[in-house]
Amino acid sequence: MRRESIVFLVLVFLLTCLSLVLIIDAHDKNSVNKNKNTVIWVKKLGLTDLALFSDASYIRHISQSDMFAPFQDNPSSFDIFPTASLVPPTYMRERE
Amino acid sequence: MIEVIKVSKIYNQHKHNECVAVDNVSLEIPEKAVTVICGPSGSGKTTLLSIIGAMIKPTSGRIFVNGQEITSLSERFLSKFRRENIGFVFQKFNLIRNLTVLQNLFIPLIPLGFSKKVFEKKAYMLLEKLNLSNLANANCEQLSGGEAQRVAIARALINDPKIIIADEPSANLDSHNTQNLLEIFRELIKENRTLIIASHDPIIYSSDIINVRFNMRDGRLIYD
Amino acid sequence: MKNLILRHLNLIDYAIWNLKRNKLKNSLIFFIYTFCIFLVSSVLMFTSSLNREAKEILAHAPDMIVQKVVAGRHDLIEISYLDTLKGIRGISEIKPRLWGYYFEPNLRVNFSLVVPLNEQPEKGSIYIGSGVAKILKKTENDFLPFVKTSKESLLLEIEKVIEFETSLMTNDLIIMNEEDFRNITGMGENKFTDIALFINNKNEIDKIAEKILNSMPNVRVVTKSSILKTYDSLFNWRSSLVFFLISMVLVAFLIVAVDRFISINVDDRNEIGLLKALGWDTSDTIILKSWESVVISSLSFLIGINSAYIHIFLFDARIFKPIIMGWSVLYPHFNLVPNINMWTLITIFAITVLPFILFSIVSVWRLSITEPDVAMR
Repeated sequence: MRRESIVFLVLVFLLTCLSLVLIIDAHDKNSVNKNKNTVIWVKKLGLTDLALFSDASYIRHISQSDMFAPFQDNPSSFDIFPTASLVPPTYMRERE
Repeated sequence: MIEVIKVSKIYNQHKHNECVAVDNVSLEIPEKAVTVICGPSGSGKTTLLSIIGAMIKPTSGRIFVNGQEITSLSERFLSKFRRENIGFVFQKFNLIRNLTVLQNLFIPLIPLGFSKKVFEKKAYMLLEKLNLSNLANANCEQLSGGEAQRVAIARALINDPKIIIADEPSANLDSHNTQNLLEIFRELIKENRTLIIASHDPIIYSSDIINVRFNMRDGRLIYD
Repeated sequence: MKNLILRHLNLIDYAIWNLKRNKLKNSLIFFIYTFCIFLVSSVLMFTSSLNREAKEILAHAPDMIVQKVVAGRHDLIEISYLDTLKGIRGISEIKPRLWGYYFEPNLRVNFSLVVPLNEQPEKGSIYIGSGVAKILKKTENDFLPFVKTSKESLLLEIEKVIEFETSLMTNDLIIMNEEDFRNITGMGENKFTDIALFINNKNEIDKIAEKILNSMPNVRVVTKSSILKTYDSLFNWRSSLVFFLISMVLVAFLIVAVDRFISINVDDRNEIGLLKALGWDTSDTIILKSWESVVISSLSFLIGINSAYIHIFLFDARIFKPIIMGWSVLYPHFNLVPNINMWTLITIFAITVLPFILFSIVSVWRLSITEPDVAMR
């Protein structure tokens, strides 16, 4: 009769090892200063926002958008789903 | 020796569907012999066997097995008692579906922390004895009625219990397989085991291997 | 001790046999479960890494941005504001910023036009972000036509394509000279988009912000900490998308758990009764059922988090990018640096594995009080 339990425990062990390897890999990658160039540009241009979303102006520069910006185009911002649902309107952010 | 003293079992006591399954039964079951309890279905045989096998507690009355009272034991000790002393053979065989014969045999030994090696040695010996060696790795679904019953007996014997309790063991067998079953029982007696059988099958209760016979009707013993 | 180990090995064996007996149902549960864990941990890893990256980079953003607000809307700020700012003590550097948007109608894409705070490109030449270069299929020394607000066109030469690895910040940027910027956008001579302030003593930021608000009409001040807060709330796991996903996962999960909870059927009851008749203790049956859920959930958990890591960090979050990208035509390419901490893992564990195990133990507990004599009936 096969020992399924041993197979299971070995599997758990191997998967845990894989996780550990990945965590060590994460640690290694972290120690490299890979944002050096980006920081140079940020300083030079005085940038304040990530270029993640470019669907609408208030989303491209979410930290700079005014209180009414999210309602400029459409009150519920369905036009730029899903980004608009990610970003709460400015007046709500300011309240925090 | 097993002594049953004034045992009653009432299901759903004090409810509108109250049902007296066993009514004030007293009897003595001799050691190393075959005792049969016969009677029509619904006469309380199965309930009485369950009580003797320490599976349920009686509503009233006491049971002594070799001088030890089992009716007062806590649940924990009851399962230990069952594990060490009693092997059950059920009417419907009660093998676990989709497991192999060997896996089914292993079940009673699992909580004991048995090693597989020791178990396999034991299991193959039993299978050999019961003519099942070639079926060790067969799926229980594919067994015939006779084979399934023999596997069930092997499983009852794996802990080497002194008492075997069989509830209607021939109910799902044809007469040929019932004869085989009697042969197996004969072997078990040679090994000094105590057999308690509930049956309303004449091939069983009128067989020459029976030493003691009780008749039950409506939860009571009746004497001819 | 050896006995105890063997007992548990036996119980695990039996638990696995049992799981195999209902192959279809259990593999379904296993896949749904693994997928849920994969989704939740992908989201958490993705957002926590992006969050960290944002924090690291935006730490170098200006300390404060002063915007002019007219009727509640962002307006261009006049040069006269600079003089008022110069009168406020504690500000070490005042840099008016010029930036805006440029819509390219053919590709229906928005670019950001930016004039550097210092070291502007020469008049007539521009630097472009790698996303711009890619979508316009242009490289260095190519010319890029712009349509001025006066409808005349203007050709600018691409002097440089900004490094690919900085695209998280620079993907859609077109960096140009002040004169070209004013020329294209039609922005008046003495106006700026907003003003960036740098402050040496970081403790004074709030005080200076207050002073600015009191001494100037119509302004709004965005401090670096509020910028960071914006991104924190965006990537924080409370943020809507993550919350939405997680609640979806939890619902799926609850269904699986509830299924386990209510599917205490006749078969299970008979099995427990039989095991007890065969000499198993109540505790043995509970341990058995617990092992069953531990086997499923531990494998799901490990496979889920490992594949999430591989998906996010080795395959660049391929499944997520389109979701987060939305309708943006331009999307930055970025290699996320993994940010995994114990807290992330514990959160994943707590919202996925624990409820599953708890649910099954409660249901087993209900089962385990089955009398052994069901085996006789």
